[in-house]
Amino acid sequence: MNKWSILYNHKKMMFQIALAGALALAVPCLQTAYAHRAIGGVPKDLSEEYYTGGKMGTVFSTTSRCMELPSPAVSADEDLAEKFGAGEVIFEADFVTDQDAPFGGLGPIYNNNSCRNCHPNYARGRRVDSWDEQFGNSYLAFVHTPDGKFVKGVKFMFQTMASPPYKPLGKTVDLKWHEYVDNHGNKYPDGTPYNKGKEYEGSLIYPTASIVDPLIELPANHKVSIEGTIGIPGTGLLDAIKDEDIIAEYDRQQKLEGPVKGAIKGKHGRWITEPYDGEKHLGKFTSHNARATLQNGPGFNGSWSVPNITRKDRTKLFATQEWIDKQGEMGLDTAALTAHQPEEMTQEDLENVMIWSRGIGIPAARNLESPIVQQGKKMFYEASCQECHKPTWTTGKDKYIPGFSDQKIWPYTDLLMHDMGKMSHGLTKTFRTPPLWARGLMKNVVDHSDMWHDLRARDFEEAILWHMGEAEESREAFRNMSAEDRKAVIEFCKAL
Amino acid sequence: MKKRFILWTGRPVIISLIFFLGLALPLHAATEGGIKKGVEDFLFEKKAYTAVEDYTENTVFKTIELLVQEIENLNTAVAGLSKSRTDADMAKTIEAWKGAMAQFNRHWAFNYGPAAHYDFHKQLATWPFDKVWVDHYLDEIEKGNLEVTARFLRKNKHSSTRGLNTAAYLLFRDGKVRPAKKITPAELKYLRAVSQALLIESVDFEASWRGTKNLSKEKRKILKDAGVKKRSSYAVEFTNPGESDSRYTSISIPLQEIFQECTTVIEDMVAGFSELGQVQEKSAYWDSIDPYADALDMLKGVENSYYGGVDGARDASLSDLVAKKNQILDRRIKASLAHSMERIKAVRDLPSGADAQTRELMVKIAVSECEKLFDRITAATPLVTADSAVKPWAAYGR
Repeated sequence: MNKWSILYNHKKMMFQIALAGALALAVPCLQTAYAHRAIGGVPKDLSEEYYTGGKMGTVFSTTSRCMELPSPAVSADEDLAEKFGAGEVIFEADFVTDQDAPFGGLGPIYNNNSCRNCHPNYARGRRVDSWDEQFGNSYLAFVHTPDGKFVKGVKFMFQTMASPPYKPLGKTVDLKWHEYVDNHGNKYPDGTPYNKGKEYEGSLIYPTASIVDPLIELPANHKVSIEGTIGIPGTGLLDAIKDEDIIAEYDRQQKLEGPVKGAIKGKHGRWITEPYDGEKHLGKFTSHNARATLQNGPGFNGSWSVPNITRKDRTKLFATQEWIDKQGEMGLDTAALTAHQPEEMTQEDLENVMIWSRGIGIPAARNLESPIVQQGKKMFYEASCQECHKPTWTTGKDKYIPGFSDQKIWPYTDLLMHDMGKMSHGLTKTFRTPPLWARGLMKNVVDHSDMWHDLRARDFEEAILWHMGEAEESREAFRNMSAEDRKAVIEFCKAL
Repeated sequence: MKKRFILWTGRPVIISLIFFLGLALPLHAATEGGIKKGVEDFLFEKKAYTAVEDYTENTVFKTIELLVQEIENLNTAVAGLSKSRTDADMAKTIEAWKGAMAQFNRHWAFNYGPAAHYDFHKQLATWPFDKVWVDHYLDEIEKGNLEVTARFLRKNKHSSTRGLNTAAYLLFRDGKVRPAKKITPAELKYLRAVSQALLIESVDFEASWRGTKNLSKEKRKILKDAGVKKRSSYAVEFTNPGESDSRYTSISIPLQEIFQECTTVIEDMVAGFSELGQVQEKSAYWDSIDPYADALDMLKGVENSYYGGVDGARDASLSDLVAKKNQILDRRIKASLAHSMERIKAVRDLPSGADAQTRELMVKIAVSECEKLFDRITAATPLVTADSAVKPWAAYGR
């Protein structure tokens, strides 16, 4: 039994019994929080639009656990279901520094000690005022030059935690929130203030960030941009979308009149040669489409890079040489930092994590036939929102979760990058259109409705109002709608 | 004529009779059946609302209140221990810690909602705790480099350096209570900070269900002094599904939350039960102090959810709803709950010299009883949550 298999047992175990009476009883702490399953059943006579993840990827639940349930494709396969459960335990785990302890190997430099901390309840993180919030704070800090290149000496995720005796790259990140007033005084043409009736009526906010006590010298012109994490459900289905279909969507957008193009430097996005097959794949994951496939994507790499848990295919620490040199300058022994790292996670564990992350079901759409949602859908299309929030795709063959093959799914994203205007520029000027599916359930799952790449939008209304740049016309269409129609658009988005 | 008259007058009678027998009667019966069904649905839905309200009041509120109370006891005991460091103080601290751990384990059955949103289970008892970090902090306190406080522990982004499992590390060694005099001043300072952080977080947990404004003045002050944000009441939304300000569309959803979490607790336990033979010659620092107590308290939490309330404060319950649909199943669930606990106690009470075979057999029996309990609650779940009376598909307009 490998070390991590024992760890699952430790984590999940109710108790261990020493079979030999003479031996001491060795018992882990009891924990539970996994293994949630859908109550079962599917309502009758639903149109295909309700099946956001297709028949094999959709779960019918609106409980606080609805974004962590295995998809039908996983539940129907005993082997996948077992691996899904094992992978989930790793996602939930709190990694610790002691390499011999359950979930050991944290650090020596890291961003967080649990996947769940940045993906609260498996969903998107929430907007926070302080970098020191441990739970639900999903922010990553990028330290970069004005033209979007990472500053030398820092990894793309700025690491603010280090195991003793080492020192992190910075003490913390100072977050500041600022008021923003648009050209219309934060009012609709009918005189209604934005966010009418809410405690923050008439207000829009955006963040800035700076590094506190950086360990290495940062260039004078450096910038710090923050971004929130994505939710896990549905990523496996997006992975199954074929590159040629995304390119076809890109080609369609090139023929559109107006600013919507989904292009970066006149192209559809980058081709990435994946190490596991040597093939080129189109970038479609992260807010920047910086990753092409899940097999070399955020979860696959994040389970190594965030807590710095090393493994056979990731034998080096996720740390820069400049950081290691700095530890040496402080008189610390750096031999362990440069040496070959131990295998802290097995390939089997990694496979389980990947099956878990791919295989989570996406909650079904809700209440689509209600008159207000129907009206909202009409207005959504009239405002041309669907040009980027492409409603539906059909997946290709999926060798990882075979049930995800050939599914008609409804994520409402074109998987292309768009410029949302100067006020949203960060690490880059463009950001991937985020899927809208299940956003209306965020309150149920994680008690917030924060959106946008840096979570500045506190709800759907604000998210729509931050659509500038390529989406300015849609924003204006929304602003010029009647109050009832604006409400209807929001209700439609909540229903997806 | 007479015959004709009879024939003529007979036609409408026959037609009426045919109509009455063929259509009106069934229609009448159907209407009567419909009314009966409507009344039954109305009553069942009402019963469901009552069960969820009483569950919230008597199971959730009471369990968290008791948790806060036990942590307050721990705080007081640690303060006493810090002053005098006697074994009597230590004994009080251990009792308080056990009480807090018991209440913590009873919360698992409602680890959905606020607990899932804000990870209160991690705030209160991250497992395993990070020994390297804790030892580092202790070292820094010894050297005079660190003034450890609850605020410091809560702001350092490592819940694994505080909580009930960290407290256990400071109070026990190799599964045994440490002599009071062996606890260093640095450890006492650390323990004090841990217990104070626990108090803040347990009160915050209560606030998440009740709403900050509904807490006592003393509890509100604890949160205010700690700089904790105000919370609205999740309980109000939970007990008023279908209202515009509730995130839940019908009473089925809170019921689903409760059933879903109960089966999760049992399923994870059963998974552990079947893992036998992990023999270790020495216990590790991350091992549970009393796994039997942990298991029994987790099951007690499920029992409290099912019966509605805690011992001495029970009212309407899930059991009432299940019994309404299937009395025998309800009785079987109750029997399984009792049997599961008895079987775990039987393993716990085995003499230390019991042979391996006997122990293994006893564990298998306990596992089997827990599996039965899981199966029975799983069978009961759709009877209640998918009943049309509680509108299981309201979110989908059905």
